[in-house]
Amino acid sequence: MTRPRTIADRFEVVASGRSLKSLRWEASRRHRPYGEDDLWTLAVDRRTGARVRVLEPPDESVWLWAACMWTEAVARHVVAAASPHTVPILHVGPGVVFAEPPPAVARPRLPPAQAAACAFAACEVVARLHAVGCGGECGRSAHGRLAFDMPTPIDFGPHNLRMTRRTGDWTIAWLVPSHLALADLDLAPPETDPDALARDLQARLAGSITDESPDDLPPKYDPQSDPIARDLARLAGFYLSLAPPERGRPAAVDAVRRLAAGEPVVRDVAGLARLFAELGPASDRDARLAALPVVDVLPPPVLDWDRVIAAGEARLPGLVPRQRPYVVLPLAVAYHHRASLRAALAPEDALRDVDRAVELDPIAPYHITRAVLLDRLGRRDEARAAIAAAFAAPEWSDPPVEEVGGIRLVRAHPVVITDRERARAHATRGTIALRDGDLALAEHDLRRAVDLDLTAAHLHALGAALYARGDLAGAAAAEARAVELEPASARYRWDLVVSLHRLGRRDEALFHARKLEAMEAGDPSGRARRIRLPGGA
Amino acid sequence: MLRSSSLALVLLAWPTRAAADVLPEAERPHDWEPRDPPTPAPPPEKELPALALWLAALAAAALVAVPRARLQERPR
Repeated sequence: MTRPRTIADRFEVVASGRSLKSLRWEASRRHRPYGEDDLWTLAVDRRTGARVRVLEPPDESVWLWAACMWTEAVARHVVAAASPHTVPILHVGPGVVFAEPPPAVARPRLPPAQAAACAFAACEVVARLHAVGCGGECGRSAHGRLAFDMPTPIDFGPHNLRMTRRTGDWTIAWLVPSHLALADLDLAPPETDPDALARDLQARLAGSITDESPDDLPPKYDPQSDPIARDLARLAGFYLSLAPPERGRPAAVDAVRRLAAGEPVVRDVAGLARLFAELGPASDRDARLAALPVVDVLPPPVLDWDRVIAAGEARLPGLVPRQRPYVVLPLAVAYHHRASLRAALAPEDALRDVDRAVELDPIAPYHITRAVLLDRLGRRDEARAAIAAAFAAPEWSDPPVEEVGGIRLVRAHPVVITDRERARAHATRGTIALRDGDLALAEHDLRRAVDLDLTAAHLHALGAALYARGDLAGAAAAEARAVELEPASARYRWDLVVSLHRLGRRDEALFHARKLEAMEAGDPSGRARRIRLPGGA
Repeated sequence: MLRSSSLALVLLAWPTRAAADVLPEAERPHDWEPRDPPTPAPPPEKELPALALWLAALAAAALVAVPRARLQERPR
């Protein structure tokens, strides 16, 4: 028995959505077929009386919390973009309330120009999603496994990327974020659409379709490939599903076809949209092309961390211990991310965030960040304790996989500490030791940091430690390498000048001093430094 | 009666138990990790020794004097 439920004081729930698993179970045991309506939470808008559909996780699915946060973030991006090609979203959080979408229909066979216009519209949607870090088929965990708890909420199937003739011509009405369970309905055998079969037969008899194997048509791509390449292949596949390649096809169609087969013909969705623009003239084509973001490397997902943190903290008190990790682990990551964003301008706030992250999930990376922030705030004793905690964390020395009797066992909640993260820990301990005057430990740690992750910052810090120990030649070598890696840094060059000067390598010192002077021309803070140049410049 | 009610209870609880058993392991969302976590502040900037400062000051004074003389010599 369910109680009447209202979402956001506006949408009265008529029926709650059911999980695909339970529907399949019923279908197999009781021969009860299921349809699209069973998978949605159906509701009515009190303001307009209109029917709406709500995308929400099934009850008790705490394990989907992080995925829900991402889905809602994508929904907010879609609301902000206000694209005419996506189904309007009326409310976000908790769940996503869509206006009633057009019914899902089988892919129509369209003339190339019209298919290109639809594919162009799909490109516009995907390009904007790529700009906020949403792309590819499925996220991956730190170990490269498919992360099933973080699916990317874009689906290209006919139940999510819908075709409609509401305005006369065929257009797309895409459900973004997509209802991934609806993809199950896409798998229905094509025999259920006799019209499509008849159309196909007619087209073949007329000779307008080549006799290529239908297996060649769907996008074939390497699931390990780059997420953008995967989306490009899926977009190309969408076009080909509307307008299968005909005899005497133009070059652009050939390019789209090769792209669907996984060939890197273009690098970004804007490039693919240009190909579609060649196939289907549109009045405002140039303006629409110019407005498309060019994204060839997927950026990190753009989330509102304040919102994620508030939602997580609100969710925690109601959870039983078994459910907590599904919220606690992502929530701690969110705190760590916000701390990293705030570290430069508001270190006190950042420290509060990372304190909470450590409290929720005491893993080495959070201890390292905490040590960095405490050190920056001058609280060196606490910083020393924090960095010691990082080195003492179990994941620091234990590999996430252990072998017992020839069987490889993966530890629960494994934390993979990358070389970059290990280098950050050594660099933090090394710089704290340098400020403490423990020069031997400083040199040891900073050398280790350089070995693990060769960066200008690590080399520069190592140079400072060597200089303090009196190894001027070693310091100059490390600093020269830092300058090589980051030639635009006046700071690194200045320290090299001083080392060279003290070594008596006057010509080299003057060479770098002149470069420094040119770099800092007009910089008031640089003038004071210039006046101290050895021997003048 | 008792047997049938126990059976009903087991059957009712079974899907929940089965669902609980197949839950994926909780993971930290890898994509949420900050790409550039905070790094330690650089060590303090080096200072030249006092003697070098004196020499630099003298050299700087000489440099200031030379361009002035050249300016006066330039024909207008």
